[in-house]
Amino acid sequence: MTNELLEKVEELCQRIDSYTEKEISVKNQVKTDTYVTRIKKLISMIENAENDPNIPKVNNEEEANRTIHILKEDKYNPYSKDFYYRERLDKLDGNIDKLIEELKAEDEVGYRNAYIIKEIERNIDIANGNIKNKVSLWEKLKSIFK
Amino acid sequence: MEEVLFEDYNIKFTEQDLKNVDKNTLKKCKKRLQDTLSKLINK
Repeated sequence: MTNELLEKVEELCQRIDSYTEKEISVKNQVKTDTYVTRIKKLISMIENAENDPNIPKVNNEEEANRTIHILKEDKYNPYSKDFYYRERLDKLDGNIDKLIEELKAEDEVGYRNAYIIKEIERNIDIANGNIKNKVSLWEKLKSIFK
Repeated sequence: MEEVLFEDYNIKFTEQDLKNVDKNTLKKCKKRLQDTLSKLINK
C-alpha cells in the first residue's frame, strides 16, 4: 500500500508537471486553479494522516528489506550464508553464543578475534532490534538459512 | 470519507489510501505534491 501511494502521487505530479510546462496559450486558468485547489486538498488530507498517532514511523517493508540486504552480504554476520564461521557454527548446532565463547577463548591466547566478535555481536543486535517490531522479518530471515 | 479526484487523469485519492502509511512515505508524498504545486502557482 505504501509503494502504491507513492507511485500514484508520482504519476499525478508528473502529469501535472507536464501540464505546467506547456505554453501559456494552451493552458486554461480554470483548469490550473482546479489543480491547485485539489492538490492543496490532497496535501491537507496527508497532513491529517501524518497527525494520526498510530501510524508507523518507517516503512516496515523497506526497513525489513534493507536489513535483509545488509545481513545477506556480511561475512561476520551469523545470519548470512556467507558467514565466515558457517561450518563451525553448524558443528555447534547453530549455537551462536557457544561460537562467540570459543572465539573469545581463542582471543585470549592471541588469535585477535576481538574485532570479529564485536562485528558478530553487532549483527545480532541489529537483527534483534528489528525483530521486536517486525514479526515478518523473522520469517524472511529463516528462509535465508534454508 | 474524504476523497479528491483528478478527473483529467482518472486518479483518485481517498482517506483509505493514506491509512496505515508510514510517516516517512507521507512526508515524501507531501513534498512531491508541494513541489508540483509550487511550479503550478509560479508558472
